[in-house]
Amino acid sequence: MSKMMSKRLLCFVVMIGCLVYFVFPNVGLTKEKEFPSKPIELVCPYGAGGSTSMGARIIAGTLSELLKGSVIVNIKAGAGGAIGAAYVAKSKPDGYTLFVFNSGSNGIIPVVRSVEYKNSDFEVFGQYAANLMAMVVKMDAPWKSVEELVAYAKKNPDALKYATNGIGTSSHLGMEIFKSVAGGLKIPHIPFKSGPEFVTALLGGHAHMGLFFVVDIKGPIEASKLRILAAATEKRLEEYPDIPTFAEIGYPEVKMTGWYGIAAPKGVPKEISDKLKDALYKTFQHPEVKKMLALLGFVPVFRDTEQFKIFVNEEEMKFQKIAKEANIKID
Amino acid sequence: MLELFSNLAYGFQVVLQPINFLYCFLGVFIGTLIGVLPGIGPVGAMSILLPSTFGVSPAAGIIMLAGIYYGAMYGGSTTSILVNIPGEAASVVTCLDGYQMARQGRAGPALGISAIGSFIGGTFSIIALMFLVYPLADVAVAFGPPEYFALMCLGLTVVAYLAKGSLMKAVIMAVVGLILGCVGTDMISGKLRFVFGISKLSDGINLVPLAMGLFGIAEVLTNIERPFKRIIYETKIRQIFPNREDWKRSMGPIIRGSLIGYFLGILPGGGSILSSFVSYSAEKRISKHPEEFGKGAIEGVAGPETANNAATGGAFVPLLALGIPPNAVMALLLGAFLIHGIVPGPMLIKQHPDVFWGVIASMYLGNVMLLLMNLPLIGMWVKLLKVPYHILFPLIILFTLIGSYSINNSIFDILIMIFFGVVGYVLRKFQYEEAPLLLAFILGPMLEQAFRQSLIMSNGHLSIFFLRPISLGALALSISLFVSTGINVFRKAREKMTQGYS
Repeated sequence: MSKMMSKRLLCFVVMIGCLVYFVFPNVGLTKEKEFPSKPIELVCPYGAGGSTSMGARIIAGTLSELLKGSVIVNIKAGAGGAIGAAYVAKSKPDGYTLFVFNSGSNGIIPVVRSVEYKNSDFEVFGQYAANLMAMVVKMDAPWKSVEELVAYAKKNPDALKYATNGIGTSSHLGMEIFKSVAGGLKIPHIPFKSGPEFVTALLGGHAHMGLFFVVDIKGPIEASKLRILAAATEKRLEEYPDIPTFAEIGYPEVKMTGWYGIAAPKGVPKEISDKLKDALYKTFQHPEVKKMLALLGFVPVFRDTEQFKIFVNEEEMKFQKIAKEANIKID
Repeated sequence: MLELFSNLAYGFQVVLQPINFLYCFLGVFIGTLIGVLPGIGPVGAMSILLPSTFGVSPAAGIIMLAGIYYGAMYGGSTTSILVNIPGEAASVVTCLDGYQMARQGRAGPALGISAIGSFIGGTFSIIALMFLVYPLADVAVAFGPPEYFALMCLGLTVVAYLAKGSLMKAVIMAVVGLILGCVGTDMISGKLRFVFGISKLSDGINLVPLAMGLFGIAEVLTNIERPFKRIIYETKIRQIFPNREDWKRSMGPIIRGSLIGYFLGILPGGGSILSSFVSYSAEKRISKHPEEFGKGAIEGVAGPETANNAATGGAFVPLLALGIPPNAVMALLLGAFLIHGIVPGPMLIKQHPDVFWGVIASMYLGNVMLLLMNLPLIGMWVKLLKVPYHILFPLIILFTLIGSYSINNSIFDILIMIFFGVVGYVLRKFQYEEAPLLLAFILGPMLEQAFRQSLIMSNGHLSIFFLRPISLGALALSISLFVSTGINVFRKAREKMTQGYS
């Protein structure tokens, strides 16, 4: 066979091979398989490397095993979580797209900016974790308690600054509500881009205080570089039982928690949604999952569908109230 | 001192255990691959492979993930040199001279110096890490918004040194870069800028597709204008390894690159990209023949490649000493530590010496493995260049398309890449350069952010920049560089004028 002809034959064979391999299996020659018959994507609206995405991978791992199908974490980060949320809200409700429904993209962001989705576009399954927050200052700061800090701030308006990991975050809203209920304190806000930048700012003395997730500040606290003044939680922190909550000090409105659950776009057929719900409940309560979430710094909290719906509604109203009082509206 | 060596010996014991050795090798191998493939970077790979570390000891897992990180820095330069596509954001600068060297048939020496510089830079940063971890952590924390602002100013004055040709055109490109950097959400007020209602732009234009388009796609488009036979490396591939002249010229840049890279790597947000740009500009400034830069000067490859590897070691400083990750890769590594029940920070070295010293020893080992892996591959890479361009360029395009999609699973990123590829092509036609645009694009937003944060800190007083020693120093340096460049330009213009009269 001449060289030209054998080249052509090779191309032809490769083409047919590709056709057979790629096209035929998807052309209805296979019969209906039960759910899940293809990989499920779990959309995480925060970047790779962050604790949210790692938590999502842990959930995805166990969920895969229980559903006997693969669950892949798909990172769609941006706009404080709004990009991922918008993507899921517009996806087909066939059960193959799930979302890490959280206090950022589904709690605060819709309240402070105009976004392309509403919480009613989602169908929540349940909550699996929470992130507790506390107010921290540098170790050698002169204030030993919140009262001392408030007194100083009142005497020296605009002298103190607080840091956050961005506008429209729970870190931001929490401090604003604190400033307002503590008597309209004047403490300007310095936004930073991420948790680590926040911590560095405090350690370096570039900002004086901030309200942040306990998990991100645990390291510096253990190293005696940062100190917690009060916890923005319902009950005292387990690891730091000597630290009062804001409620105990007289500011019960200062309560902020990050929360994380799983949701899907509204309209998933009942059999699929029941199957998902069942597997998710088991995943959220699985001891290994809870252990790993705790290691990452989350507090494994389980709320089932109904409980979570009620909780989210309450949180929405709380955020709306705070945003209105503190006049936080981005666009 | 003696204690240090015994600790290190302990670390080597840990890393030479078969499973840790294997994981180290896996890590650097995967890292190199990730670095070579344009688009997906170490963060993506590490996050996908994270679950596979759950079943093994913390030391093995961290060793592998760390290996992916610095391995990617080795591999990133390969495509930069061969086809002008930065495999990694930090390798953009290597495109400038590395690719030109390849066009002159000197791809081998470029790859060789790049691998060796990376090795020296990486090893240096590990040694520095061992000795200086704690004192440097305090330095890292002292850098607040005013210091960052001053540093960014310094970085932008360096834009002038990136220009091959007309300074005016470079400045124009820098301004365009600044404008492009504004696209997205302003982090101080939260307002959207230049987004035009496209929600995907609300986080700004993604750097990697932008770089891939401006450098890689634009290059392909420029090349396919000409008849295929005459493209690719008109001269024969002359050498495979660097010659003595190359070594002599590279020694200085490598030493300086190591220092620059390490110190800039410590700063959160700084890292490998900034260090490679600064190293390039520093080398051009110091060089006795700056005209060669941009046309294949080996210093332009040796310095930046060393710097970006040295930066990886520097990036470990805040993580290991304070538990603060200075970039996304370290953040992921932090998570990996946490999942294994280890809290990095000052306690790490006491509570888990096997992990700390094991990881440090593994970095030495990993760098050696990478050198041994990359050097023999040079011959293979160089042969790749002999593939006829009409087969090569569709493959290049294919890889860049897949690569840009893989970053965020987004078609939009592909569109960005193609758009800027066309833009880059047009720019080249008019002899505008991409490098100043890219540098300004990266530094501009950081500068603005730091400036405004500083003003909040000072309640609006500009004096804050001059009252703090580090920022004062960096600003003074920027101003003097700016003035000296200005004087040079002025002098050259005067010469031209007087020439016209004689």
